Amino acid sequence: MTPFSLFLLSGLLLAIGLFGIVARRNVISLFFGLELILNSANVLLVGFSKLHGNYYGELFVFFVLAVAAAEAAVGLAIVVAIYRMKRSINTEDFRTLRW
Amino acid sequence: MELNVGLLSPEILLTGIAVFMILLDLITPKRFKNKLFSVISSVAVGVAIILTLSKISPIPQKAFNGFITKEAFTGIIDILVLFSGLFTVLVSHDFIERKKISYIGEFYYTLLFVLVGAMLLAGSSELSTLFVSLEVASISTYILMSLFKGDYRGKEGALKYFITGSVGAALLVYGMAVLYGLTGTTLYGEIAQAAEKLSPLPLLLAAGLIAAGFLFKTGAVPFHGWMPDAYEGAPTPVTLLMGSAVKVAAFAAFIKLFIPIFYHFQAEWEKALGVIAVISMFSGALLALNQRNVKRMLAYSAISHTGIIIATFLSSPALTVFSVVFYLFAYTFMTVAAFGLITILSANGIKGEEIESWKGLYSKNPLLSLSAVAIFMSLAGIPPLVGFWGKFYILLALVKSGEVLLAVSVLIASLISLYFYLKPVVYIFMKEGTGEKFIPGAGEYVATIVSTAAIVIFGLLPEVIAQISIMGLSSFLRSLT
Repeated sequence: MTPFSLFLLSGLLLAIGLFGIVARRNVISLFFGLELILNSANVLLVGFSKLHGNYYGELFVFFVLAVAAAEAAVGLAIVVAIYRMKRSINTEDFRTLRW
Repeated sequence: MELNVGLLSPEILLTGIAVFMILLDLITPKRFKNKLFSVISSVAVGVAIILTLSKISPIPQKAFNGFITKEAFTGIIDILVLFSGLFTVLVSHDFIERKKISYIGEFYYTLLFVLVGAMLLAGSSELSTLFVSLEVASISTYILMSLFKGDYRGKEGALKYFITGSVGAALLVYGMAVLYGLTGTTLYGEIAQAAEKLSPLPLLLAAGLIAAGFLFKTGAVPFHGWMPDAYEGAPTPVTLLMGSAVKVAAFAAFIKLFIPIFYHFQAEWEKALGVIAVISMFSGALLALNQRNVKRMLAYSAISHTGIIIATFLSSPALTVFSVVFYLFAYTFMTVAAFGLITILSANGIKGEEIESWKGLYSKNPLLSLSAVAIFMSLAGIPPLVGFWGKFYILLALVKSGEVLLAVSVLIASLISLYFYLKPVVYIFMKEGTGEKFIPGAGEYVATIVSTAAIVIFGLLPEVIAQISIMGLSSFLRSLT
């Protein structure tokens, strides 16, 4: 395993995640993109942890996973609350606040 | 290296009280909740302020094997965070009294969690601690924003803040992972040692991603999309907390991370940061010109202020720390006072946020009107008030470091912003009022008047803040060596 292959994999995941966030209009798909970006960082952390031979990176991954779970929980709760009022999860419908 | 848990006693106290409140929430009858919880949380924050004050020392202290470093710099930021938390509790008591929400206990303990996250954020000196505390503060803010029942605007603002904030946090983690890969450690001190031997190009990638994460959080221009919506949509006490505590702590963490690790190749990134600063201050000031909603206007003005603070990063490290601490000190009190005032005025629902409903305020409440004049003039940077001294020291720092062009653009942006800060003042002194009655609650009144008094008093005695900032600077420099 070389640093280059690590960067290739995580960069690919990052690019897919960013594309999903930019291109998708469905809030749930946006969440997929977010998780992909966080996991691309996780791949990098675990790989580098192996290359450096210390555990800072692997420990970091646990915190990132925990935070991602909390984030998903709160985000989905907000989406459910909005869906009850607007009957939609399309970001183009959320435009009460403008200019 | 040892644990040194005592250093974190303010955070531990706040966390303990918050957990205790979760349990207490289950057995308290609903009609006592608002009074009881606001008293408990304001007492807890007050005790935390005293504890923090007793622990401030010019010598940097480490806890948890160097994962947390507290110098006087962090102490000052902690005090600012706690003060804005105290004022938020005071303001929200009256706000909740009027709104009658069904999640009162949740509101108060989530508020304490925001404060804990912000304080840890200012204290962290390790990458994963930084990330976790940043997310504790932000996730709690998302919850606070969407907690009010039947309030659609808050939820929409929360969703927009959530999506952009999470993208920012994810980019921040990616930058941290790159930094870890380059240096093999996550402690700031060791990273800084390893970074000096590296070539600037890969470091620049890490610096860019980390800076992007922080610029998302503080709302600089390419990443500012959430700011107006979140500021307008959030319930006003939450906007107060977002604009003061979270933002101040994020700037402190940015300084603590950026200066030791990335300053030795300043020449490589200063152009990019300078462009972002100039665009932020101008677009914030220009977009604010035409706003009818005062909260939205203040959001754009916050973008402009962020630009001014970021511009300071182009001067030398010592000047940066000094003038940013000074500016954050002034900015906290101005933000608290401005949003406290809006909370009072929006006693009759959403109307108080519209600038038209400010007409004839002077005939209804002269004291509030005069404090509004002080607040807006201080935000614009008119001489005897504290906002002027903040801008003055930033200009001085920029000119001293030879960045005259940036200094001139700060001046021009301030001149533009004078127009929209004068607009509410003009409306206040208009004769024909629309006659909406409002009765300010005691808590929000005290919070607004006290922070306005702080603006005026510190404006007359700027050397007090200057001394405090120098203390912060000296302890910060000592922690680097």
